[in-house]
Amino acid sequence: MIEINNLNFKYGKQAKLFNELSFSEEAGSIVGLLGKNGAGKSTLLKLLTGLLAAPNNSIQTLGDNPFKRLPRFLEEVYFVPEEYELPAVKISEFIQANAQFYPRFDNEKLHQIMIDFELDPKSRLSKMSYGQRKKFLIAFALSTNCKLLVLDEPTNGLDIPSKAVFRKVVASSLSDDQLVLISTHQVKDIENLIDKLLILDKGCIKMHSSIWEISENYSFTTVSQLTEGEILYSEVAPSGYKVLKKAKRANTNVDIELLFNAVTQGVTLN
Amino acid sequence: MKTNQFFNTKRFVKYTKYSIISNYRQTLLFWGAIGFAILAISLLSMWRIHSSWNNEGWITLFLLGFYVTGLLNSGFAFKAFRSKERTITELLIPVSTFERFVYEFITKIIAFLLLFPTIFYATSSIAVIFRNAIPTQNSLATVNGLTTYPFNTISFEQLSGNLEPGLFGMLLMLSILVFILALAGSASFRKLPLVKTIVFVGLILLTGIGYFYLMLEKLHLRHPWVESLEHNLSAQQGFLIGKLTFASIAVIALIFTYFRIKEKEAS
Repeated sequence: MIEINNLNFKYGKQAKLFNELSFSEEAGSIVGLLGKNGAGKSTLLKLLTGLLAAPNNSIQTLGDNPFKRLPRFLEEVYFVPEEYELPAVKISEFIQANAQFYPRFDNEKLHQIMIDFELDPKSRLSKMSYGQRKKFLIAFALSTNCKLLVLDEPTNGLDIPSKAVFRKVVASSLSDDQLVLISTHQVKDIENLIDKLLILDKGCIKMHSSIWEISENYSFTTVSQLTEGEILYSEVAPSGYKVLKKAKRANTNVDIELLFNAVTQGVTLN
Repeated sequence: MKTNQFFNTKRFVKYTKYSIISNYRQTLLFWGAIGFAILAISLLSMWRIHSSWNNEGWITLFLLGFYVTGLLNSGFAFKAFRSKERTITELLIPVSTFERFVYEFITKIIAFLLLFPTIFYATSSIAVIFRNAIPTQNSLATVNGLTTYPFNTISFEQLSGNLEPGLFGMLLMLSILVFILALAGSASFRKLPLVKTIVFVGLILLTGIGYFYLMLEKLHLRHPWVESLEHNLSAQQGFLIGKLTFASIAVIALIFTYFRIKEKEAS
C-alpha cells in the first residue's frame, strides 16, 4: 500500500530531512509513527498523501505517485492534520458537502462514533472547541472507510475520557484492507492501539517492527536495582529503573516510551 | 491518464455542491455588500448631483463598480490557499486540478460577467424607485431644457453605442484579461494576492510602455514596418489585433494558473 524507495528530501536550502529513506507497509495495520520534534513525521505524512512532492518518484501510495493527486487516489486517502481550519458550517452541512466524495462512506458509523464522542450533530463547527472539532474530524475520517487513514497528533487537544474513546473507536472501526498511520508524541495514548511501530530519527528509519515481534524478543520491566545481564537500556523510574532487555517470549507489555528512548539514544535492536 | 481522472461531470457537480455549502455565507455576504454599496452610491449620486445625473453617470458608476468588484472577486479566488491549514484540506478533496480550475474560472470570471450587470441593474433600479418616491424641489431641476426628474435607470446600450465598432469587443477582452490576471495572481500568492498582482502586472506594463516610449518617441527608432502599419492598418484591424493579443495573453495566464494549482504544495 505504501512504498518508499531511497527518499531524499529537504525544504529549500535547509539540511536534508530524509536521507535514502526506504520502507513499505501493507494494509491491515495501525502503525505508530514516532520521532523527536523536527524528525520529519508530519513531512513524511504530507509526502505520503501528496501534499508535498517527493523527488524521483520515490513514493508510491496505493500504487500511484501521490503528488499527482488523482481523484481515485484522493477518494481512498483521508488525512487528519495536526492543525486544521474547518468551514464555519453546521456538522450536518459539513457531512453533506464532504461525504459525497468517499464511495465507502458510512453514515451509521459516523453517527455511532459521534455518540461515543458525545458530539451534537446540530452543532456549528466554528462554535465547537478545538478538542470537539478534532473528535468530529476523527469520526469523519473513520467513517470514510478510506484505505489509508493518516492521523497527525490525533490525541492533541482530547480530554482524558476522549482519549480512551479514541482508542476504542479506532480499534473497532477498521477493516483488513485499511492502513492507519498515526503520528504522535503522546505514546501512552496509542500504546494499546498500534500493532506496528515506525521510529524516525535523524533522517532515517531507526525501527520498523510489529509490537508482537518486539514483545517476542524483548522484555520491559521495572527493577529496584540494576544488575549485570543483558540490559540493553535503562532509565530511572520512581520505583527504581525501567529496563529493556533482550528476552525470548517474556510476554511483557511493550513500553513504547522506553523503547523509543533506547532507539533514539543509539541502542541497536536486532 | 484516464479521462475521468482529468474531468468528470459528476465529480464536478459534487465539487460545486461542496463549494456552495462551504462558502455560501461568504458569497452572499460579498454580493450583499456589493449590492448595498451600489444602492447607497446610486442614491447618494442622484441626491447630490441631481441636476446633471443622467445615463453617463450610470455608465461611469457601472464601469467603476465593474472593475473594482471584478478585481476583488477574482482576487478572492482559490481562497483556501490563503492559509496552510485550508490548503491541506482543499488539496485532499477528491477532485482533479482541472475541475478545481474550471470551477474557479466559471464562478470568478464567467458568472461575474453575468451577475454583476444583473445585480447593478436590479439595485440601481431599486435606488431609482426610492429616489423618485421622495421628490424634492431640487429634483425638478431642468438642465439645457431636459428635466432630470424622474430619474431613469441605467441603459446599457450606451455602453457600446458610442464606441467605434470593434472597440467594445477589444475593451471587453481587456477587462476579461485583467480579471484573469487577478485569478492567476490569487493562485500564485498566498498573502495579499490582489495587491501583489497589481504591483507585478503594473511593473510589467510600465516596463513595456517605457520600452516602446523610449524606442519610438525618444530615440525615434521607427522601423519601416511600424510606419507602414500605422498607415495601412484600419481601426477595425487594429481592434482585432488588440482583441487577439489580449485573448492570447489571457490563455497563457489561464494555463499558468492551472499549473500553479497543479504544483501547489502544503509545506
